[in-house]
Amino acid sequence: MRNMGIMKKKEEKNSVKIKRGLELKIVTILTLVMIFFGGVTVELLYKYTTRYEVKKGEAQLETLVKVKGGMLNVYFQQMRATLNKLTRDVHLVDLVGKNSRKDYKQALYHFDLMNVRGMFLSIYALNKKGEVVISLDKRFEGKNYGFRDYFKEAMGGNEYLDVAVGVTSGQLGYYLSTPLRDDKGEIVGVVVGKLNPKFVKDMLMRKTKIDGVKELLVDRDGVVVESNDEGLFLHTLADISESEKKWLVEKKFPNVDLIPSGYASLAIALRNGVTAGYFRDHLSKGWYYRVVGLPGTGMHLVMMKNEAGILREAATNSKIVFWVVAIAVLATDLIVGLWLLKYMNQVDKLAVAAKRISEGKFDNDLSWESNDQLGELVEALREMQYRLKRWHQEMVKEVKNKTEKLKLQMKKLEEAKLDLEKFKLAVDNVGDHIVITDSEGIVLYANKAVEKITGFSPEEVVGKKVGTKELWGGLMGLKFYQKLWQTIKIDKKMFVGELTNRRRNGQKYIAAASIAPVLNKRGEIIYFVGVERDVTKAKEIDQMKTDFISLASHQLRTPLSAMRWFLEMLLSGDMGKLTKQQREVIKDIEESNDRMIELVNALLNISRIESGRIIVEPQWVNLKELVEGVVKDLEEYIKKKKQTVVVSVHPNLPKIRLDPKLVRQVYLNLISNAVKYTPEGGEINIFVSKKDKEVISQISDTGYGIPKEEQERIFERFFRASNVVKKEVGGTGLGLYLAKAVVKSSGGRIWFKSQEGKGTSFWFTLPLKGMKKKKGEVRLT
Amino acid sequence: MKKTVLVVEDEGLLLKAIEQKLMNEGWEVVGARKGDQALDYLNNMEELPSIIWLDYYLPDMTGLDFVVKLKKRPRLAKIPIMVVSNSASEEKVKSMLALGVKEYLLKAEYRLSELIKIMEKLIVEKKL
Repeated sequence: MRNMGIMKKKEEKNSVKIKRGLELKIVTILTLVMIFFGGVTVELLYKYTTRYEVKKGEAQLETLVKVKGGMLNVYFQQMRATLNKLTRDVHLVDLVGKNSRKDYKQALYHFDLMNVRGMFLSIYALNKKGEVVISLDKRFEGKNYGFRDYFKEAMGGNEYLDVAVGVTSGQLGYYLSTPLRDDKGEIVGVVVGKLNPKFVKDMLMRKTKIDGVKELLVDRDGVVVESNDEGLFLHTLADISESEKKWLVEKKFPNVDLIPSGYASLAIALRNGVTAGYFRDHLSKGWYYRVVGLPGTGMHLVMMKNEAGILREAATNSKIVFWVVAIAVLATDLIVGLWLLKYMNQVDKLAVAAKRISEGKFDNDLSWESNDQLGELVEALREMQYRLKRWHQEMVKEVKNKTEKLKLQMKKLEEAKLDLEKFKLAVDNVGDHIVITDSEGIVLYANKAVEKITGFSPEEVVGKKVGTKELWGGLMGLKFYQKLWQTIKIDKKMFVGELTNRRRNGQKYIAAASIAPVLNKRGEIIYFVGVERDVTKAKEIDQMKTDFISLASHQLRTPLSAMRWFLEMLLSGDMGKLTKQQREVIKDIEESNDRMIELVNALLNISRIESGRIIVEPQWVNLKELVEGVVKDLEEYIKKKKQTVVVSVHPNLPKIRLDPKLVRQVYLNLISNAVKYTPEGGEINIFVSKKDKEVISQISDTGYGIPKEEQERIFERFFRASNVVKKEVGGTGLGLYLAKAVVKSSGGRIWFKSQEGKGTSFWFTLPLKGMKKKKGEVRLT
Repeated sequence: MKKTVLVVEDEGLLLKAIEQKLMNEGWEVVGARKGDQALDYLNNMEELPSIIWLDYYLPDMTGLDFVVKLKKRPRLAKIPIMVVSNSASEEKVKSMLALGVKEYLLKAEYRLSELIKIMEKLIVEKKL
């Protein structure tokens, strides 16, 4: 049992192979779908975030530029207001306009006052010639700054701010200038405040280190004068020519190497008064920017933010989303994968079971439950297995049954085949000539005897038409063949007859032929089967027999006749008178002689009937007359035995066509037997009646009867019952044989009932339609 | 009236019996044992027999040949013939009766006295 189990398992493994990979497919598809949608989400999010970050950045720039621009404006206005206060100082006006030295001290005092907070690096005033008359920084006094724009502009009546690198200090400074007017409103000089760039720097730097915002303070000549990016300090925004550069250096930025910043696009925007936008620098870096002009200073404040920074921020956000999505994908795959593995395990079990069922193994464990579609499938499979198992069992039974039957049929068929072979062998080798033809008489088969008899080989015969001179036939004349074809082809009956044929070597022979049509179910002729026998020799023998019988009869009858006639003469006294004793002896001799004659006649009759040479010549016969005639012939004999014979014939018995000689013989034999084998004084009854299509004749006697044990043999040739042999010397044992032969050949029956010592009844029938005419050679005697 | 009969019978014993019986009955009998002999007699007889008793099988010819020859001669053709033979096939009987033979009888079936009666009947019939 255990071994079997192992073997079974092994077999299972070998026979049931389940393809895997559905899990992988599902997980792959799921992953791909999730990656796709995740990707789209990340992408969309990234775009959205980018846009959001850009807007946020721009808003930030906007705010910064407004706030800081505002602060700078306030700062510069305050500074200007401070300077304007100084211009109203009469001491200063007089000092500058009238060169009144006495006012110097007072004016300087006011200068100090105004710069309490140290907002200015220096405050100084220039006369019309551009000479510094008074200055907080003593180094400036006596120097001429008439070449400076701030002096020229202020002398023109304008307030002005100039950014330049100081000739003396070598430091960058904001030079705020305003015209100094006397009481008549005449410009007498210019007051200049050199602002401390630290304050501007502080203002700009405040809160702008974050977020990668770059701020630039650009003067009217496009030079970055302040920036939180040290690298941009004193760079030109635009790319400028050498002459421009030289001019700028001479005028405002002595000893400074003005390098272009690479922000040419921004310079163009500033020139055109654009306040917000986006540009690419010389390194193709993208920048968002906001610009605000600082009124009265000729300067612009620029806030700009690097696009990459914005994008980086957006990317950072998107990255988080990407990782969330990726983790979600992996987690989903893991969960789905594990779940699928568990489920597929069940599916595999189902698949294995299904495969095994398909291989005719119905012992699969399908007992597990699952309350989902899989459960339904398990249940369905379980049901299927159960039904298939039953069906299979029934089928196996059925197949077994059918196979048995088939075997039996095969056996029968085999037997039939053997029979057929035997049959064919028999047909092939039988002595009679057998030919099978198609419905047109073309030979399909000929057995060996055909060659033996006709000399034609089967090969010569097959395919040729029978009954023609091409083969052995054609000698009988048209009429004969017409009759033959009529019988077998139109009447579809068997033809029996004798015909003369010719062998291949020309020798003629007589054939007894029977030719029968073979019909199919529809009654159509499919074959003819002809059986012929060469009766030439038999005919010869028959002739010899006939000759012998006639010779024998002649030869036997002659001496018998002689004896008869001499005895007759003796008894009639022709040879003289006989004594009583002599007479009795001669009578006995005559009786013996008569019996011999009778025997010879009977023998002749039998040989005639048996050889079929007897003539049947039917006439209209009145049976009553015939029977009465027979009785009359026997009258003397009956009288001698003192018997009573009663003849009763059916009153309406019609005349029948019978051969009277033959029928007479039957009655004669039966009635004479009755007389002979009935003791003296007995009674004999003869009834002739009609029943259905027959005439029934009955001959009953009250005689000795036939011993029961001998009744079987009573119709045999030469048989005489043991109980009568002793009583009646006469009798050939041929009478009943002859009677039976005649009755049978006429289509009737003959039978009897007998009880020993009580009597015998014979019956025989003759058909009402009578006997058939038959040509022959001899009659009965 | 004198009754004359020509008996043609090749079997001597039978001929002897027939002659004796007929003479006993008062017949004038001429016996012949061969066909030719019988024909000779007939040719040379001044008075023809009243009847011919003929056997079928003769040493030199059959009864049929004999009758055929006889019938060829008008003088003899009218003599009634009674064939008494032990051979009585249908063929023989028919052909003989066709040639004008009055009776064809089976030798063994008849007594001599019966045959004589038949001859007498035939002679009377001829005269009628």
